[in-house]
Amino acid sequence: MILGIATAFIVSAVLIAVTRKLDVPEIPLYILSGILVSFVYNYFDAEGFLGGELYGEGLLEQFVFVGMAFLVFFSITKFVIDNGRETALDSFKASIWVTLISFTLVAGLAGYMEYGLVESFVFGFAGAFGSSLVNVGLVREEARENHIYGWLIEDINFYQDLLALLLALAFINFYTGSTNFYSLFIALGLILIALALRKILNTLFKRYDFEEEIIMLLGISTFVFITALSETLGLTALTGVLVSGLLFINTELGFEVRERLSSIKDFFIALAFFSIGTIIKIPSNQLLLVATALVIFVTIIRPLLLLTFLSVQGYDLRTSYLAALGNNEISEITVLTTIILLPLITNEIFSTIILAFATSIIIANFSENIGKQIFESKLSDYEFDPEKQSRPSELTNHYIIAGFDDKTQQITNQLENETIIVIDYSLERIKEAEKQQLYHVLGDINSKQTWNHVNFKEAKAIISAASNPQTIQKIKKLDTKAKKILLEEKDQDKVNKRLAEKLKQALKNE
Amino acid sequence: MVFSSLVPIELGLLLFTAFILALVASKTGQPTIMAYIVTGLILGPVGFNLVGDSELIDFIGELGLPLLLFLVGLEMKFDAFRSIFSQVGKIAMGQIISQQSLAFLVAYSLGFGLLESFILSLCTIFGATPIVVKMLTDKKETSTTAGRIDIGTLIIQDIFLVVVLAFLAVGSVSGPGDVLTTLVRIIGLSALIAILSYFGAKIIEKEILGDLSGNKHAFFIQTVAWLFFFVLLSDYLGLSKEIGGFLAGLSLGQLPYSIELTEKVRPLTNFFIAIFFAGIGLTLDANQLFIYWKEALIAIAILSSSAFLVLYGLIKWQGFSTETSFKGAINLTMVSEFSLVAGALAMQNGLITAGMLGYLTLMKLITNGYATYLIQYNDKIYQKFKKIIKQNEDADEAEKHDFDAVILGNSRLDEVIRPIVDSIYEDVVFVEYDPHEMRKLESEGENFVFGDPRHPHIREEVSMNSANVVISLEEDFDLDLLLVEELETKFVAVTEDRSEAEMLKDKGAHHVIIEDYAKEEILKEKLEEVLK
Repeated sequence: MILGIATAFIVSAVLIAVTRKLDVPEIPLYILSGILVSFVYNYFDAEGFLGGELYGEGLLEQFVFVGMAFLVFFSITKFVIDNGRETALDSFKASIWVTLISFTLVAGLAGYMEYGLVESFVFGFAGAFGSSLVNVGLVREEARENHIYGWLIEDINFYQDLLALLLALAFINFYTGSTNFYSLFIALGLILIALALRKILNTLFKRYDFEEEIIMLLGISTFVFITALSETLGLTALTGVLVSGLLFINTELGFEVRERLSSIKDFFIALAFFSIGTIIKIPSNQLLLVATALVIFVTIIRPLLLLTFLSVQGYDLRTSYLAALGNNEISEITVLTTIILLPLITNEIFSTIILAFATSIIIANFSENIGKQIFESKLSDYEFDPEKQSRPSELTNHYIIAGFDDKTQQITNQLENETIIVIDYSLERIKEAEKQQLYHVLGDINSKQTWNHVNFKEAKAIISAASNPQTIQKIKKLDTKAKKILLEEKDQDKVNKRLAEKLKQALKNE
Repeated sequence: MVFSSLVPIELGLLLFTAFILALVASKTGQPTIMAYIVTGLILGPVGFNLVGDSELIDFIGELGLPLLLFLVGLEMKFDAFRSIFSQVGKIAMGQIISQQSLAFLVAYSLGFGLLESFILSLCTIFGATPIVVKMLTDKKETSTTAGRIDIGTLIIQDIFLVVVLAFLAVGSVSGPGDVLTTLVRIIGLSALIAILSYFGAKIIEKEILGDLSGNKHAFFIQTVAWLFFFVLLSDYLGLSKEIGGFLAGLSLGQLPYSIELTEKVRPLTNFFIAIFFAGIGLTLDANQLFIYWKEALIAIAILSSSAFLVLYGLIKWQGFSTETSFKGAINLTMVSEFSLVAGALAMQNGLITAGMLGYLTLMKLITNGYATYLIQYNDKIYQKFKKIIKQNEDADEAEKHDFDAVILGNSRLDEVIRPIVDSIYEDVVFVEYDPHEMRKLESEGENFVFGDPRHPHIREEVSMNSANVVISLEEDFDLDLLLVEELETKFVAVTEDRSEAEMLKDKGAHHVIIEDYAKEEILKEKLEEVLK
């Protein structure tokens, strides 16, 4: 039993090592490992060198499901939504519309091409929902920096995940003969109970100070037990995954559970995708075309739809474009839903979805940087959101503050009676500028258009505390007579000296 | 349409019961392994018979042992025992020979056959590495002389055990000559794999791990693949999978990344091991468990007390103090979980019956029941017995190495912090997660531990609370908050967020370095010049 799995892990490790400089995401490499191992094994088996199955077939299905369900469970535990964010409502509206239109378009087209109800649903589902898998690291970093498009991506991912889970739950419950309307009702009841219970669980965790091993067991046993129980009670496994995940959202216990389960999740995800690689088959030419169309839809048309909706809601072209770039893959929830629906669809349809999923993940991984470059070279002439700016009709002899952080906010006191205009890409900071009654523009200081918009050529001085060397270089290269007050590399020595003095004092003061 | 079961309810039931019992065990001072075995007993034929055969449970159980041995290998650091290696070697060898001989005599006198007694004696091992090491770590006794002797003895015992496992995996042997040939073959092939893994580890450390260590997921997959490679190789060569796992771990264990690797592998191992030990409980029925209960009680009475006396004598013989000898000996009076591992393997290969595995299981359960308390209260017990056993008092000085200053991370502020820390403190240690920074520290001759300070074990490794100051350059607010609450010593943090800095100060941080303030001053000075 170990042979197949061990070989797949070894092949994956080799592929990861070989492609490490190319920054290829791991998931497609796992699928490829599964395909390679299965191909080689089948070849030698046909030649009579080997005997028996690579894995037990029942076990393979369980690996696929457990791994994918674990991934979705893990993603659910990370759900955090900040309703106080300005972008929350806009993201919600954009998610609803984009999902609705994408689903209708793709599922409708599939129906027109005479695919059955389940197949059309699966294709529509794949076209409608984005994934938080690839972008999550990058997005959190940008959201942490309060870039407005980082917030948008994070919020849209959250709403799409939620919508995807609810839609999948509704479809599976209604469509399958073993369950019915009441089971959906029970599932919704269980979701509410889970949301109420999570705080009690967190209180118990705090009171009894669980050890690491116990936290690991709590997380994994909750997931496996509730998922298995849901299936046994005829509620579908997805209900269990959702309910168990919700028990850990937004609490300290949830954080600890994720920490302790991280390597187990990594192991089972790898196992799930290897196994997927071993069971998929090359689809027919028609389905290959469908996969290509799906990839084109997900990586180009859906982001364009999103861009349009965000622009209609008043976001400038750059913000809408960058937010849309973060929504160009097929969701992992699509893969899980397809697995649950496997008894109702053919292996070819499943393989089509997997092929499109893996391709979209690879494209999404590379599109982040390329997308930004394309924007700067081709689309840099755009209008700013009139509601997120305040600018006098004539802007000359003024001070530009590029990046309104704690340091530059203190500097405005020294510029009384001067015209100041603030540029920042964070909605919060722009609001702060507005509160201080300063002129402001919501825009990226890395974008040429932003500088033109604040008439940098006729400014008296540009003040920035930006630490990114590329941004500093960009400001230094601006063709203007304005004085540039920046924190440069050479200033770091002075900064270090002052910090050292303070630290020395602190350490010596017992 | 009825969907097939995607997650077996048996697995859910098993894990949930294991969680409940492990929680009870941890609150009553018992090792969680006990809880897992009892889980199997409750859910299996001995109890309610709710969990039967499941391919997924079998698969997870099958991987459990190689993973456990991999973790044992990863945690073995030969450097830590170099200074007392020769003394510990003599103690361990003496303990293994005397204990195995005694276990054989007891089993044979209790009526087991000659071969069975021999196999049972191989499986009767006193001193459970994971439990003892964990308890000593929790009690912060790993760096005391008694603690180091115990851990050193356990390491040598584990190596002996790996050979035993390989031997048991071979199955039947036809006579003493065959035993010898088998042993020579096992040792020869193991040495071959050990050499291969040692040099292989050096190569992958240099060529691959360094590049991938920034990507935690890829780093972990490389580690698991390394384990599987040696498991397959070892299996192919006719050795046990466990020996492959152990040697794969041992080679990585000597690398600077080993602590981080250990922390990644530990939760996965704990999960697989929970199912493995529950699986042992599931294989037994009530008759098999209790068929040799009287023999088990007699064996415990003789072997557990002799384990203490023999080890006490051996440690004393090597010139250690009475207290060290007493504590070192009392810590190793429980039957190891490897007894069950070896027993299960022997049963699989038809060398012993299920009833004999029950005999070993009972010994394990009962000795664990009391021995954990002996470790927990070893100090109090020693105080009670001190007057009786102490002849010549020679104070046992703890040789714990404490650092004056602990620096987490080696960031851009390094050049600010290091000269000041070096001018005030003598003994400084860095906790570094970035391999390139780690290499830099190594080349500069600094003390360092490679690992993520978010892991509690890594924090324990550098005894933070014993340091005069802990400086975190990680700029991770969650970590800083945790440290400020956990540490009783002076704590310095770095942040760029002023509200975070205020919060850290309120919680008790001694000093918070805010680069922003210094930068703000410089920016203001520059503006003033322009305005003039």
